[in-house]
Amino acid sequence: MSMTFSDQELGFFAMPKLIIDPLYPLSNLPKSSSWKRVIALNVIAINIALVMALGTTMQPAHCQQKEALQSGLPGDAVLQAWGENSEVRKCGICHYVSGNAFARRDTDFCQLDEAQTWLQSDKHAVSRLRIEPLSQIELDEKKKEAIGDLLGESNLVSYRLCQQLGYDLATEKGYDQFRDNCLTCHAGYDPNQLTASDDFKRSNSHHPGISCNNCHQRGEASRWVDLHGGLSNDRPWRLLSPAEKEEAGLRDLMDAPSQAKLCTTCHIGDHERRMFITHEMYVAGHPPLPSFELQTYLSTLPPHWRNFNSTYASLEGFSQRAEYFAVNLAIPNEDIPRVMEDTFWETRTLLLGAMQAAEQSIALMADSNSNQHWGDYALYDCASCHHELRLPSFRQQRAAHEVPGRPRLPEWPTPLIEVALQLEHPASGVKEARGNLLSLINQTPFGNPKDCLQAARVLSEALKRSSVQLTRSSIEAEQARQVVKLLAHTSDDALLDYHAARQTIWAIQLVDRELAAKGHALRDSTRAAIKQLGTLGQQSFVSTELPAGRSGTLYTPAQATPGKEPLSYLAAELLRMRAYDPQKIRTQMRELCTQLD
Amino acid sequence: MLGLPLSRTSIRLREMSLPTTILVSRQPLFQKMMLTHFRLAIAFSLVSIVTVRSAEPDRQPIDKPACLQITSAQDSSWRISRVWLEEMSQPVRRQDLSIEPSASCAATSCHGGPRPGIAEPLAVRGAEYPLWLENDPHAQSWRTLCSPTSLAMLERLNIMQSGKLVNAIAFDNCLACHNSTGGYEAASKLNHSKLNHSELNHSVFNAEGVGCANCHGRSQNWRSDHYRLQRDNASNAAIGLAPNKDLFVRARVCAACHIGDSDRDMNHDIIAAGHPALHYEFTTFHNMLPKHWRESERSATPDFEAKLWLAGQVAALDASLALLESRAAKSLSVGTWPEFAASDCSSCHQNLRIGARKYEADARGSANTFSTWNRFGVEQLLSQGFTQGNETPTTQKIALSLDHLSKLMSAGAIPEAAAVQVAAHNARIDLDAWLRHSASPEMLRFSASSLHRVAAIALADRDKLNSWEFTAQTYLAVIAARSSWMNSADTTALSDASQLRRALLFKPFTHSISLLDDPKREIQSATANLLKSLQPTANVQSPRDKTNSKSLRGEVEVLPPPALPSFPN
Repeated sequence: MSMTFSDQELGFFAMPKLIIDPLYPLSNLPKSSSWKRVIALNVIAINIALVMALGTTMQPAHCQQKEALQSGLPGDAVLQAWGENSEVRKCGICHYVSGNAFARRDTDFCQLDEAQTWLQSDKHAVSRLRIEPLSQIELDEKKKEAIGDLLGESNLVSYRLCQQLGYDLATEKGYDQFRDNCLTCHAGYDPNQLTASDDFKRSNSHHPGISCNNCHQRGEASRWVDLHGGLSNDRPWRLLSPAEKEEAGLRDLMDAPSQAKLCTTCHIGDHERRMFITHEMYVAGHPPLPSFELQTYLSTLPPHWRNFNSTYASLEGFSQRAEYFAVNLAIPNEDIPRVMEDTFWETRTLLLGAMQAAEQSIALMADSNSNQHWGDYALYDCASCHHELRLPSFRQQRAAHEVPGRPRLPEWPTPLIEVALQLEHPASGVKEARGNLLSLINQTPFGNPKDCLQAARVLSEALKRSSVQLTRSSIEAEQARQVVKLLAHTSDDALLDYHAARQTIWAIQLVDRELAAKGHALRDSTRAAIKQLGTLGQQSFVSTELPAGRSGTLYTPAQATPGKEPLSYLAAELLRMRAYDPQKIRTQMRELCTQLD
Repeated sequence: MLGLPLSRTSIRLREMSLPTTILVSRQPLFQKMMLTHFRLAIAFSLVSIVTVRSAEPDRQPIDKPACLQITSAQDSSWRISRVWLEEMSQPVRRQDLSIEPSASCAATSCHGGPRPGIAEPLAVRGAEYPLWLENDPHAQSWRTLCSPTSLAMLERLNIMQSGKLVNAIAFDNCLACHNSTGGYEAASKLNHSKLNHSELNHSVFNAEGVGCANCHGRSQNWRSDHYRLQRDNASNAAIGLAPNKDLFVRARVCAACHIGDSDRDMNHDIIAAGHPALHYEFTTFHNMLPKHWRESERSATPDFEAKLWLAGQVAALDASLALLESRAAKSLSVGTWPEFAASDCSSCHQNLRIGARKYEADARGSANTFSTWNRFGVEQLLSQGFTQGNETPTTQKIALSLDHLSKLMSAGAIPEAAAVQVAAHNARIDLDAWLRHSASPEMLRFSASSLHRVAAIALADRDKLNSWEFTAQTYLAVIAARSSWMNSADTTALSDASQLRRALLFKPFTHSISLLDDPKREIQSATANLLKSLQPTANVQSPRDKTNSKSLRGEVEVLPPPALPSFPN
């Protein structure tokens, strides 16, 4: 949904273009240079004056926007809803502007259109709106019209789901149940935080999705909000370590492990924050949680940040550029230029994301023991039970050391983990810990909770260690080529699962693209084989497409082929899962292997 | 005589053209598997050297041993009782079997005689052995176990590794049904010199498979005198000769392998390795089994198939309870629990799809569904007021026991094993009490038209027809009752039944992305049609039932309205 809006429609978001660092605290001023302090104080004074002046114009604009809505003028209902959210409004003051000359002064670090990208193009911004049970969206016709196609099938699914689970949405209590179980992921509701709980009341629609702070703020500490902004580059905030920034409340999302940690809380689950889709919810209609590949997901969002390479380039004029990256990546200053130049960041994100995803799913299982979710089918691989019974069955091709007929741990992390483990030196014990856990789970269906918990913790620790090692390893052209090779040699066993195959194909395509972008392109024939792997389409029954953008949903009908009923993404995906044939992928993989050898 | 009275005044059943083949699974692409299944299924069934004297009707009423029951009022407490069906099937318990090949019964003057009709057409002994050997798939069950398909399963289960036998205990479980030895250990004791742990040595195990002893019991105790002495059923059972003339006992003896028992367990691991799932229905299996005995009982017993159905359903429930009890008990020490084989296959094994919903309307569906296959008959009888006017405490007890057990089994992903063990044990005792005290008079009267009515009411249960297990069992009940409805002028019932059968078989799965057809739709229309064509005859032929309006679990429409508006998803 790429619409353009007039300033009037955008309301206050368009207003604060001129506001520059109004809250820059005196305490953080460099004490050594008094003349700088004077200039800074002057800037602050000017800013305050500007704010005061603008404050008067801001109010009418806001009212104007409301009036526009009431009179039925077309507007972006999502922006309007977020516009009433004070926290997001605050972020928008700086991050909802683009191309403003005055503001450009501080764009070495960021682009200042982050909120715009998020609110206009990112589906996370409407994730609550998408599942608001239909009867609860108490809107008049005009507003419904404004929301338009943002309401649809997913709201009905959610409504039925609440009915099945016994949430009485007519009451505040029923809505609170919905909030506690659904809005933790769908709107960032945190049961451990009380300050923002008003946003998640039944009548409040000012938090229609994931807000800026849901990701960027850790806990309730908000000191960082005042600390992080500012025009000048050379401020102490810039060179604070991620840990120090976290202490002020800014969540560290600089490097892949922490990004993956954040994403996987929702995309895999986290008992601590009540983010867990139970099997009961799935049965009631929640679509199956797809496999998660960090880099692919991040590039589909679309990203509202600069990656390492482009930040490094844009900070060319910044005298402390090396220190900045050194402190964030925990590597020596002198290595920075080479590391920034040579590292294959996307490949690195791919591998680190895979490690974190595996750790998160193991941790989810380990925590389930104490959360009375032990044995919840949702913790296991869907396809281990949900498949058509048939003979011959490719599932019977599994290695003989596994007991047939048992619920299996999610299989999709396996191929990428195996590759990541090949790159680590020295071995962190993941293999042994994983083998141990699998054999315990093989002993009896679901495994013995006590033993499995212990083994899962050991594995989780090993994965953590391994992840840290991998962070320090250099992932450069040589390793990237090795990754492609290892992925192409993924064992037949690991490709028995649809999602595992999809992860593998995503990974191969991604590394191939990065190799090409960095001038290390693989041979044309190899690239052709990789391309074919991704475009097997209906033949292979694996799709690497994801519904993208704010308008893309699981339920949006895909492009209809003539003569056939258009299928939604989800329906098509379920059909592909059903018809998946590992042999076709294997054949293609072997073809790729011969190209690589 | 502990069972159904056989009568000389027989109504010979018409030759039936309707195929009684039961499909084995709801799954498409299962046709191959079904063939295998039937080969195995039949391979397990009766092997009888029953003398022709069995045709002599025994008019004694149901005469079952007094029960030593110490009953406690608490549902969760352990009750001690002897179960009649268990006692009668004791002769086929594994520890009692011996490695005594069937050839010992096959003397020419005993059961290895010439074929009937060739010589001595009136002899009481005959050609049981050659008939069994040549025709009965049970004679091939050892070969089945040694087939490449089975060896691949053994490898998958880690019972064999690279052709070497490595897990004798697990292999013993295979022998339990595919062979007539007392077990691997017994075989090894007798054949020290021959037994080589590294291979399946044909000379050690009875290469014939399911031999005489598997169905008739250990012969050491009675081999020398069973042709001289007349014993009653209880005495026969006590010395190890299974009284298979009683249909209840016969059905229970088959069920010991075809469902499982406290000493035979074909579990989900084995199914996942490739073994067909077990769906036992006595009438069908009995019809398909090549007989090695003279089947005069069929013509001598009115509504023989309906009675087979009844005996089969009761025996199936008893065997499945015994199996469940032993599974739950073992889980407390070593075994696997939860045991997925106790669930309805399709409750988990279904493709994920939009709009799918569990068919149990009241279940939230976080757990799998406790299989109804072996409970179907008895539960239908109970809910339809089968023993109406005879609602003794025993009738209510079994209904409550089964409800309780069902709830325990569906309570969550991992049912509480200790509670299930007690509940299954007690349900078995309640079934036994119901069988002996409340249901007997009704069972004696049970006719094809009674079954016709049972099937018609089941066909009207729209919610439950969503389950393949329930629908397939209903179809089989309809077929078992066909002597009632096929006499009617309305012959559309036959084609409707065929339509339902085809629908239950599904079409083979094809790799077509456009495959969106819901096979349930076809089942829906077939059941609706069949119900319509069955109802008039059910009405006419069950005058007694018209007054029946109450059941144990509340009001039940005797004959529901003919139209079935929609098939629930």
